Amino acid sequence: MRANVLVILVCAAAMGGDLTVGTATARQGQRATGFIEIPAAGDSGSRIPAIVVNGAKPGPTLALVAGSHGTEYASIVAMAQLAKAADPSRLSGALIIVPLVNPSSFLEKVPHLNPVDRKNMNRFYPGKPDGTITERASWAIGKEVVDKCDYLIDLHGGDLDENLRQYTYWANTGNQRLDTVSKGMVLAFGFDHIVIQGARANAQRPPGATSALSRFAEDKGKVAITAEAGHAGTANAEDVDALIRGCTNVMRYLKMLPGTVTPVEHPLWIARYSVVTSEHDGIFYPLTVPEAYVQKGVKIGFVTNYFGENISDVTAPITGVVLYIAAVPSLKKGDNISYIGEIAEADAVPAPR
Amino acid sequence: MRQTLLFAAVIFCAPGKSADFTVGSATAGPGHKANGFIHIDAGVDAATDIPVIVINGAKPGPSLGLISGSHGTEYGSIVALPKLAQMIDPAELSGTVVILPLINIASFLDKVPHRNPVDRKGMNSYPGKADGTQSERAVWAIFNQVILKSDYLIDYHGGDLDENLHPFAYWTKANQEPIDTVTRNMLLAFGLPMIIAKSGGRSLDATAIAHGKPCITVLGGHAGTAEAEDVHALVAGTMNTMRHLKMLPGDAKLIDHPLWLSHYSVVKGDQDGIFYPAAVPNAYVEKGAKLGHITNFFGERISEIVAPVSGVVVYISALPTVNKGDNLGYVGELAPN
Repeated sequence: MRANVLVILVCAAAMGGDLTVGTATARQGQRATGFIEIPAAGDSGSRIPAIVVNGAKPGPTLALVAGSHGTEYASIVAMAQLAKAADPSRLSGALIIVPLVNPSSFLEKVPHLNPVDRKNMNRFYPGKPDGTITERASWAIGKEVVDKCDYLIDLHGGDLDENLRQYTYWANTGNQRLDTVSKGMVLAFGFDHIVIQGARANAQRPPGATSALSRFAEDKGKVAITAEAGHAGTANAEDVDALIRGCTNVMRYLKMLPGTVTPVEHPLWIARYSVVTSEHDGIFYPLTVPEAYVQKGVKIGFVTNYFGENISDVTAPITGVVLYIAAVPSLKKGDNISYIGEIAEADAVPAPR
Repeated sequence: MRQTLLFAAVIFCAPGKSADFTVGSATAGPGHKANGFIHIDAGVDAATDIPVIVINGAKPGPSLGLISGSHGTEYGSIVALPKLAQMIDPAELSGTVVILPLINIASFLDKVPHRNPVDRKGMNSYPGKADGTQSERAVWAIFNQVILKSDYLIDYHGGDLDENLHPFAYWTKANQEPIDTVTRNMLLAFGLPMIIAKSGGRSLDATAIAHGKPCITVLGGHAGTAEAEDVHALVAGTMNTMRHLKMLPGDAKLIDHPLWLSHYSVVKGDQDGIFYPAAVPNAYVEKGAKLGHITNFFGERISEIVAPVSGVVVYISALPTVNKGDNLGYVGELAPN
């Protein structure tokens, strides 16, 4: 019953008219490409590519956003390919695809940050209309993408220096309407490792605090999930296909495409993850791989100095599953080396719908 | 005859039997190893400390300089040289080995390919300047403290963070004998199966050769990796070159039939966008054959990349990132015998 009400409400949103994102305006049954223009102001400007696929039939609006980290290539390549392939005549509702939020990071091959202002482009939502490039771009994406969608998937992956196992994030926000639908979205997406973002429920945040895109969208009442695939500079077909398939399955789940979707039946729910950081500058040698199960205290790698002498063992701080591990030998004191995910206790796993 | 003269010169250059050998803060007596740093004072920009390992053999012989990491994300060689330093036993060694495993520390730590992020300069342009930016000061110190004090040199590179390649070597020619024969034999001892001839320029090898120091350049590793196979090729090649130079006991087997390339053509991107390679390193391609294509961020094809000459793909871009004007690959042309 509740689900029916929800569907009627969101259907209303995209009934009929044109849909405009940045310079891209698509009429019903059409597809358009353009840019969200961020004019220079204090620092350089940016042109963020955007594709609008406005379905022939009414339905909700789903935003697919990738490339806030411009060297997480699989997600960027997947969204460019999906944008090309998406067929408005088959679509109920609309897609807003932003394949590359951070073109400077992509073009300059700088992982994690926007090289112009050295900020992480997935930490500064809602942004500011008059801040640095990251803040102005976040502000514009809030207005042009988040405000105009009903559902959102933020796409990431192992960055240039990260070897990663495919997984999704599901946020337990405490808002039952959002949480039920977002759980359906992660299960439809199909990755069988799901990290629960539990800290978002009832969390008190200081005024002015900034956040990641998914949390910002949730705060605005949008249903959002985050998906991660790809690793270390690659855009392998396996990872690209998994992301395209996952987004397509979510579109089926949301009734934007015909067909049924089989949700993951028995995902591995991860209650939280522990970040392993480096205490030294040096050369990192990993001794484990993504998806490995490790016991607390087990050695997951070691660090040598430039003379080849072992200066530090890196151990697992908790028992769990390796979500990602550093992919390159470069290691700077304070750098992240790995995420170890703690497997959720049975009572923390969300109940089946 | 010329060969004999050079050999005599080598013996002259060799350190005395019982002398200490010092580079930067590392001083090793005969039969010993020492670690230290070449300190580069702050100047117009920050100071840096370049790690150095001195292995002073128990027996007399030539001095060999091994230099890596001018591009600090060419990991195969940066990982290989510390391993090599651990493997060489000074009691077995005739002569001295000076190892600089990582000259561009900021590139390594910040994961910035090709350049030193401190001054945005490449670190393979010699001889540098005593009062220049950090890269220039560092290169000047290496030129004076290592290159000019070595009898032989090997410069190590590899596929950078954004480059896929199979191991190969450069034969940088002086177009003079006997030095070209000496470097040719070092390359055959090193044993990488593809060798590209070149000459001139300001790179380490060309600069060393212009100062009469036989120097080869070897490349192993690719795209952010330090795989055992690539690291092994560099370590084993160095050990065999040292046997060839009579610095280690044993016979050096020379590679029989390497692939000689007379020169290479650079393939460039003509658009900003996403690069999809359609060829792999070591592939033979005809002129005009497709090496890949570029799409824009909407997924639409905007450019086809083709081989400018017939030859062998020496390297090809490893990442989807392409900027207009970026190098996307080298195609090497086979040398006429």
